[in-house]
Amino acid sequence: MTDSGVTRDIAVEVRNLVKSYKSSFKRQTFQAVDNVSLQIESGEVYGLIGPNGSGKSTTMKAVLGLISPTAGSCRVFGADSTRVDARSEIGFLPENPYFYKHQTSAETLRFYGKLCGIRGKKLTNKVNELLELVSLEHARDRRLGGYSKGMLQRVGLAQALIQEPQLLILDEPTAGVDPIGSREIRDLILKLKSQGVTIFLCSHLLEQVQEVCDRVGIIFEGKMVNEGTLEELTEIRNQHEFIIKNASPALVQDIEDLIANNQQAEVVRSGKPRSSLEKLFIDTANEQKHNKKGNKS
Amino acid sequence: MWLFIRHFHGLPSAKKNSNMKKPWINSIIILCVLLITGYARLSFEQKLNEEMLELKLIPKSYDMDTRIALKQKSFAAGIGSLRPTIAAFMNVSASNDHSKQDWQSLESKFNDIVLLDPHNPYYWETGSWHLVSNASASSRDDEELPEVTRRKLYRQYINKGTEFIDRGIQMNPDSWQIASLKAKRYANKYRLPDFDKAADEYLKLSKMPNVPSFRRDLFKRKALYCLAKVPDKHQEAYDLAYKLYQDPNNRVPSLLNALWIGQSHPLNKVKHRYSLLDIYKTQNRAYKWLRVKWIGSIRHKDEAMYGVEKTIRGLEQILLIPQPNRVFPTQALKPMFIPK
Amino acid sequence: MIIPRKTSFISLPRISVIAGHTFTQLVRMKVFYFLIIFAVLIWALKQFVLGTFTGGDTASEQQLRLLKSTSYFAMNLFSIVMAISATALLIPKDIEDRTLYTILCKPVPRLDYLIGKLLGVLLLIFVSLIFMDLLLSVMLHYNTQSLIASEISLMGAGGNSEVLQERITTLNAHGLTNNIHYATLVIFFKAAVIASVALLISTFSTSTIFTLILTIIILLIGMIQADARELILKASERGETSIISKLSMFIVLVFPDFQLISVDDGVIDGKIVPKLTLLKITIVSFFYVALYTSLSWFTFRKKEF
Repeated sequence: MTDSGVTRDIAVEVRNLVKSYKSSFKRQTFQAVDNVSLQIESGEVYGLIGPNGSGKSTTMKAVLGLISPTAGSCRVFGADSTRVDARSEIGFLPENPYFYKHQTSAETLRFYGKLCGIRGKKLTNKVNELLELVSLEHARDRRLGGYSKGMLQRVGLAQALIQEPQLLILDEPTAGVDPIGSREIRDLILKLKSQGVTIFLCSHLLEQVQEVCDRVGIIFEGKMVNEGTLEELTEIRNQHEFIIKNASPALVQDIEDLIANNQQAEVVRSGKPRSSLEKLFIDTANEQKHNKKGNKS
Repeated sequence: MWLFIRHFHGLPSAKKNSNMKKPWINSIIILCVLLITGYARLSFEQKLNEEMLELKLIPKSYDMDTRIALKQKSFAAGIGSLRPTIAAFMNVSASNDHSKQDWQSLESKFNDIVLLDPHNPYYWETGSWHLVSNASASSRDDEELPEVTRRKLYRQYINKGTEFIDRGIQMNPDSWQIASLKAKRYANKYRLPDFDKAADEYLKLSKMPNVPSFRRDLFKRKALYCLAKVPDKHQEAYDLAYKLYQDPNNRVPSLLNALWIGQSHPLNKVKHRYSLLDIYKTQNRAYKWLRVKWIGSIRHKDEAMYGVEKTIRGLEQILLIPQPNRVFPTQALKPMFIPK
Repeated sequence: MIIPRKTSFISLPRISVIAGHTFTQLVRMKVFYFLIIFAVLIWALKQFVLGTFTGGDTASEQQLRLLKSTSYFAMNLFSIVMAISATALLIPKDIEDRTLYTILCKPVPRLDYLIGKLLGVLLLIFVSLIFMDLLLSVMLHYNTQSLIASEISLMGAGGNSEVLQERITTLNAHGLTNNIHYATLVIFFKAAVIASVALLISTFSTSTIFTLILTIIILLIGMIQADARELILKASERGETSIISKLSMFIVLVFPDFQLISVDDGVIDGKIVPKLTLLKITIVSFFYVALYTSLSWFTFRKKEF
């Protein structure tokens, strides 16, 4: 379908994805995802952000092949995501992962490893390596029934990595994890990124997204409303920032005077201007709500 | 504005609708596959069903009424192997009815038991035995009931027992064990015997296909012993005794006695009159077996015994049997030596 | 350039991983406690009930019959309950616990998942039935030998050797023969068919209760299926077409015939199961399991979570 030359560097390609559900009682349809397109290049960390119920998880499920698109398509490394092949390179960490409570973490990893066709010594080594990576060696033979949420999240991450996938899909990777655990997970993501693993994560913990993501998409009520690199998105377009090294107070004074003399420009703040993704997100959400009201009236 | 929305939603909604219909399409496809495979397997399954019925691996559906009766009785009847277990427990509880002499309850329990485990000869045997032997006698001897009722109940229970056996035979036409219950019932001299019918039943039994050969001979001999008790059938009894005697395996004492009595009957046409020594080989054996026969028959008074008294008297003379031991002493005996 | 690895449509090692895992999961749910109950039941039977059969020519084989019928009943009960409940519970549980997400997000075809789950349940039932069959065999062997010994001692002196031989033959026919194992095997087949029916229903049902009830209804209808077939044949012989015969036809075509997958009644009666008949029953069972598993895959392949 697509020329392989074009898909070479594309890890995930979502094209005009539409997913609608029928509500069971009324003959109404509900558009969970509405014409969403996105591309994630190989080696990139992409964050999809949006409020609850905005279609983040649905988009992810479509990429994972857990649901089939009503319209549009999803491809993973060039393979249609509804095909099983597409999943050989995907590691997935669901939101609040629950595993089989009767298994220990080592057994869980062995189970998922075997599902990916890893056997024998290779599997044992991989399991040990991953347990070390997520710092669970001390609990390896305890059943998951007794694990804390943070520990389960780490088992989930280890499980997602078992077949050394080239694409890691993380659904709220730090939800319910304490700040230290959260930081560990963030470090791990950065480490994997440095190894060339493509990461697709969705979260509403925006600061974290800001810390790790190369590119971000904002999804609202099923529609992609903003997308770009972090720099692009967080840029305050009507402001300009100089970061001057070794500026003398006189130079700063001169600059301030220069601006004061200009009719239009004014100094908002001197120092480092900071916007945050959070602000951007809330602004966008408000704007959308406003637009919607406008349409109705 | 409307146009804009239309444009935006138009394409996906067309596709979406086809998606919505899918559950219905799926159900229809599944139903079609089931129907088609159903047609495909119909004749194979019917043949296998017949084969398994033939092998008695699955219970035959006798008639709808029986089935409904059974299914109303217990849901558990649906699970095959539970039925014999329930039957066994009902049998335990029926034996309590026996000790309490609650015959009505016992009868209804056995009617259920044989529905639950219809191919088990034990329950047909036990059920009919309870009705024919126990319930009848207990009613007959129940002094709280008026004489007429007692006699009526006595007959009624024996008839019920007979009907019970008939049902067993109907449900198990190949079972000689159950068929033999009927012969035994008619040959039971204590419960309204009908030796003519009993002889018939034994002859039928001897012709059933799956009877072991030694039993086949036994049934024929039993038919003979029953015939011998029917006053009008002396000729048939003799003919059968003569026929059976030709096979050396059949020459048991009772048969030898029957042959001797048969050929001594004044009205019988005798094919070949055997001598006493032909039949019994020695006089001692002849005396021993005829003596047993005579004493037994005196007790039951159910059989005419032509020639037996004469033969015994003669043998007692020849063999010099001491007077106290004789059946027919020629001298007066002291009272203490009168044989029982 | 990264090219996703090809994943075969069906893979035995992968199925066995899921089956093994399902088996472990069920074992850790402590279902094997039932086997202890079974052993106690058999022991209690021997202690309290077997001695109650007295009188009559066929009294002694009643003990063997009862031993068989109680054991087969327990086997049927266990295997049917396990087949229905384990199958009906496991997939919804996986969906509810989201463990299914993590499995299906690995390169695991949905058919492999379904077959793996089914085989896991069946493996558990099979292992349990082997245990029960062994216990039954030991009890049956021991009881038959002691009954034969007592017949010999009762008839030994001056008894008719043909009658004795007949008794021994009858007791042996009711005792431990291959037919005992065949009946167990057929109980397993029946459980397999029931499990595959439950699997099919659980792929489109939205609640476990619905799956359980519908499977039980199908089981009950499947048990009177032979009657329905007879009804149609009789009606068609008479050239009749009524609503009842049409309804019966529908039942016959759509529902499985569970009566065909059952020889325990006959084996309790001491009947022989010829190998060819066993083979035919095996074919019918495999056909059903394959049919329902394929249909399960058909509804499950595009199911969304």
